[in-house]
Amino acid sequence: MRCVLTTDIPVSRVAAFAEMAWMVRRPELGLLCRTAREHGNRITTAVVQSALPGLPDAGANNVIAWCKVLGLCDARGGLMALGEDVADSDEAPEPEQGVYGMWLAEHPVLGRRVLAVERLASNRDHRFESIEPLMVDPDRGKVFRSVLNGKERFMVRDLPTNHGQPGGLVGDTRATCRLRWTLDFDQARDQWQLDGVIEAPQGNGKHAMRPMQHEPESDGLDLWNLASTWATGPLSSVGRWQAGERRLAVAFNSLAEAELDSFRKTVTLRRVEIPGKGAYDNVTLEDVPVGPASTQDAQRWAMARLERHLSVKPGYRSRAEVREQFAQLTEDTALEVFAPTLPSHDDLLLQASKDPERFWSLAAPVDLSPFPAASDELGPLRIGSPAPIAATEAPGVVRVPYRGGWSMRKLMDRLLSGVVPRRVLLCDRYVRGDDNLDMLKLLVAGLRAAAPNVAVDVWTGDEEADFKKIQSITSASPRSYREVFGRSLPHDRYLLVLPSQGHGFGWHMSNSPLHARADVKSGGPDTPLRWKDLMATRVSADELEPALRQWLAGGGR
Amino acid sequence: MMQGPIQRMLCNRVLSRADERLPTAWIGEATHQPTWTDGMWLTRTPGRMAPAVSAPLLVLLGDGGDDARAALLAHASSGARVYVLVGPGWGKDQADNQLLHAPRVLIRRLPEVPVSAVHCGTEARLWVGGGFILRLDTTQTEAFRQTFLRLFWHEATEEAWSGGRQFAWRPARERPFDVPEVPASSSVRWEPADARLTGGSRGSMMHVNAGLPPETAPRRLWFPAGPNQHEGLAKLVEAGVEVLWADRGLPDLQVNGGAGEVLFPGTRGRLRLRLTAIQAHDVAALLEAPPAWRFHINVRLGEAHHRSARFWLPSETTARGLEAEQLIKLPEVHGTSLREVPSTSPASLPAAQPLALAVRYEWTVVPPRVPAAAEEDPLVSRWRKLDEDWIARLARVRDALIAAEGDRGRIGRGFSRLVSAMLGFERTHGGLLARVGELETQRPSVAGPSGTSALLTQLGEIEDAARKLQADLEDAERKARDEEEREKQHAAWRSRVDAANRDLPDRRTALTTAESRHATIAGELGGIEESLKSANKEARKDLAASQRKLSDDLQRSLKELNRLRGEIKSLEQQADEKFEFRPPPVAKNRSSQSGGRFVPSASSTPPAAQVPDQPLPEVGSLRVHKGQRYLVIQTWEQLTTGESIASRLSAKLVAPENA
Repeated sequence: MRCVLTTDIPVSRVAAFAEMAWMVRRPELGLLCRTAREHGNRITTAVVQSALPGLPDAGANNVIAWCKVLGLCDARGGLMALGEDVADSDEAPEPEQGVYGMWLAEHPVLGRRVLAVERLASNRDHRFESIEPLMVDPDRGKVFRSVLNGKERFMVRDLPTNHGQPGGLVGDTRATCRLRWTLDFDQARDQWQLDGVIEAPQGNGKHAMRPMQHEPESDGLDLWNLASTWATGPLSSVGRWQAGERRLAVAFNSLAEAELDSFRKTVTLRRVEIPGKGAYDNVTLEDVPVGPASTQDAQRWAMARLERHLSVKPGYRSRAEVREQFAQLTEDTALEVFAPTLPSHDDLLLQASKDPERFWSLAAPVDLSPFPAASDELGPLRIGSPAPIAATEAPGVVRVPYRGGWSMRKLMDRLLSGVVPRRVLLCDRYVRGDDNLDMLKLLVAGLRAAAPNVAVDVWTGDEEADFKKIQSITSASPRSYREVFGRSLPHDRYLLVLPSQGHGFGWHMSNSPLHARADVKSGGPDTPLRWKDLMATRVSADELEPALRQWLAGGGR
Repeated sequence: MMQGPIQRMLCNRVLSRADERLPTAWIGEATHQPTWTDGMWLTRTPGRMAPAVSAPLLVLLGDGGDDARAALLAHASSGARVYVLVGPGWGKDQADNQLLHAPRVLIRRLPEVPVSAVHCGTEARLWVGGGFILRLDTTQTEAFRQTFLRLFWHEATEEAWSGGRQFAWRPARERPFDVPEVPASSSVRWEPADARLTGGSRGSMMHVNAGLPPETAPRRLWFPAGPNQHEGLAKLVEAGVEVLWADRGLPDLQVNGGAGEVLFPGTRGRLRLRLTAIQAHDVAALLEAPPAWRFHINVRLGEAHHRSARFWLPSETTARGLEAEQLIKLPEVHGTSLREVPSTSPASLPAAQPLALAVRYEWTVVPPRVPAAAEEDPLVSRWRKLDEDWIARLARVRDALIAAEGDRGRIGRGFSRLVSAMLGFERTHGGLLARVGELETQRPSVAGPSGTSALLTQLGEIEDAARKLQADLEDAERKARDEEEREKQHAAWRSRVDAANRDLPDRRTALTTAESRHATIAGELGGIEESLKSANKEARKDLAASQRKLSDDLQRSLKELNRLRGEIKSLEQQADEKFEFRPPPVAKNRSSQSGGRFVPSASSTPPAAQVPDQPLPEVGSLRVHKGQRYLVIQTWEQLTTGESIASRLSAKLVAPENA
């Protein structure tokens, strides 16, 4: 979430008698201040003598007294903000008095600031009646940086006056100044910057308009606190702010298509106020985190996302893939807490009855599945709710129920079917990404828990895969799909088991075991995992693709 | 004996082949359509599948799948989902509107559909071909479903669905899962295109549509009748296998007691179905049916029952019946000599077609012919030149005689005194013409070397006689002409003398008168001249004029005197002239003039006649080519004569070049 606040700031121009100081290069003072910072943030005789060896005490005291005059330290030698500045920049103020032309601006964010200053020649025109009180009384002792020359820094030490009312000759100016304040809530960072044009001295009392140069500065706002403040005000008409989730609960109907997927919304607020920092009009608040306002909204939102996904990537989808996709589109999103439900297969077909392409993309994979889907798989899928565990499983089928809480070892034990594996092959196109590689570690650990010396081969696509990482996990060099299968790439995942004794066999899986996720960091093979649907069907060697069959026969390793 | 012009000769020979034997042959038998009674599993009537409302219908729509399509439509009309696999050409020419309007039909194209079949729930049926439908048992049904799924998800190339205005075909979308390979032990399995029937032991029956015959020897083998694999089939027949064929549109089949299998045809793969014992029993009934063809070995052609049979032999594209007599036309054969032409035959005779009961060979013998580039022999040209010279000389003699005849008439008419002489010339002339006419009937080339010399001598004599006749005629004419000239000249002399004698006196008188007159004038002139000497001026003038006039007169009289004296002298000479005959100028020899008549010049020695030493052939024409002499005869009747002449002339006896 972010927004940009803007406001115009008036600029006044005066000529006034002032005591100023320009920051000039004083490395010895910089050294002194740094030494002080290393010695308790105090400038003492010892610190001075440490920084400037050979200086007698009296001399050191004189230095300290001057530092006090300059404002680098307080009366007790404690390093002040200006002293810190000198320590960082090796520049120290050099005071002077005179008549100066100053361009002044005032705003809660930037304070009473001298934007630029020029030295003026004093004369004796005695126009005392023209002296007016200053519209902006600049902050004293604060180092300003000129918007005309970024290297020029100065400070107003004092504005001498007889009756306590600073005054000066008010001049005309065509300078403009705008404040742009960017609030980045996600990054918890604010940044403001001035821009505009201002008169630049050209000599002989002439000026030309120049663009302002201003390095961004930060105010250090507590942005999420600010968001909560706005939630009760201008944001309340858009949705309900959920401070805990830092999210705006909105109605489904208010969302644009892209917002369904991004879970972010852009809202325009007529006027916002930042306590102590001013009010701003027509603020566009971008990427506001949004979530459903109700269960109905969540269900419609989830289905809209599924619909959108199916439209963007048309193609045949098995029921397992639809379920997985629905879970992927809702889990770990604002929808998940509302437990949206994927309709049953028949209901989905009914909804798609007017769209033949969608209809067949869903119907054909179920009607023409080599492994008929279980009835519960064809039924509705409620996100977050563990799927029912089948009372009896068909022989040769291992079904990991959705959110069944299986550990990787449990799955491996079931797939090993009681044999001691000598070698196992995982054939999975997408062995990539940290999460999947974490699961690969668990898979290997699960296998080695059953057979410590089992060799694990991995065949995977070489796009974006890190074969070195895979090899570090399996201790064997993986092989690429392209190398093994050429152009006839398998669609599904396979786990092939070559026992120490007896014939090898394979498991044809509807999903990848690497798609499981652990809720805890550094879990082990026995750690319960979050699963999407996974059905593994045992297949014999002659039911496998030639390359896989060859692996079982001893080739292609 | 050959007669007529020498031409190419058409010859033939007939051989019987009734005892010939064919090593192998398919023999087509006239059979009646076998009767069929539906079995429990194999039927010809489609029947209806038990409705399974919730189960989708899976359909393989192969060639001739009308019954399967009907089952499809019946099921689809109920609203159930139907999945159809069709071949690549399905629906490309014409959309199946009934299928298009069915509510829920998903169709995918395969590169090849092996068979028509329908699967619904726990039932499945295959249209095995020939109108037969095989019902599958539960295990087969499940295996068929698995095979269907494999084809549907792994092999399909395009897809479309019903319900629209047309089938909008698109590339088949990616499968949502892998369908396991169907195990080798499965009762229905999609196998490679080179799959073959298994089994085929001694008691089995097999029906094989293509490829090689089985290596084992079943009891009965149905194998496509045709030109191929005869060798392998012959071995099977020798091993006691009954090899048969009837094209009933059936796939490859094999039954052996309680087992069997069906292997459907395909170029990309073949569907194998293992039969149950009961199904095998039904299929066995199919294979026990009488065949349309039977394979035989060592077949004798002349068997009576083969007359109406059809035979299919190795390497022949089609079957055919026996041929009563085969005519084989052979290439031309060139005879080595004219005498051997009738007996010339090809060096070898090609084999007859294997199904010919008799064979007639027919060929043409080409007689030896003179080469096209052969030229006339020099002997012929020499004789021809001699003949031409002969004719020319005779013609000249005849022309001279004809000219002489004209001269003789002219002379006779001009000189009457020569009439009697002309009669003598006429007799001589007639005799010469008769002899010329006689010689004109002869030719040196005909007379040959020996007769030619006599002829030439006779011709020389006639030429001499003709020349003499000509000379005599001219001589007689010249003499007559001289005599006539003499008489003419004499008459002219007499006339001139007589005229001079007659004119002389007058001339002399005239001379005397003129002399007198001259003297008078001369006197008068002298007088005047004397007068002048004394005459006065005026008289002188008149005297001068008279003097000039008298001078002129004197001159004229003097000329007159001279003329008269000359005439008198000429007359006196003419009167005194002696007669002298002056022969007329002799006309130049007309033979030397252009266009003059021919007068053969007599030569003391006869011309050296170049008479060839060999006579011309009596028959044929003599030609030569590359040093070889050819005697060309036209007819067979010239053969014997020609042979002797050719031998004499060292020539080869041949027919004309276009024979």
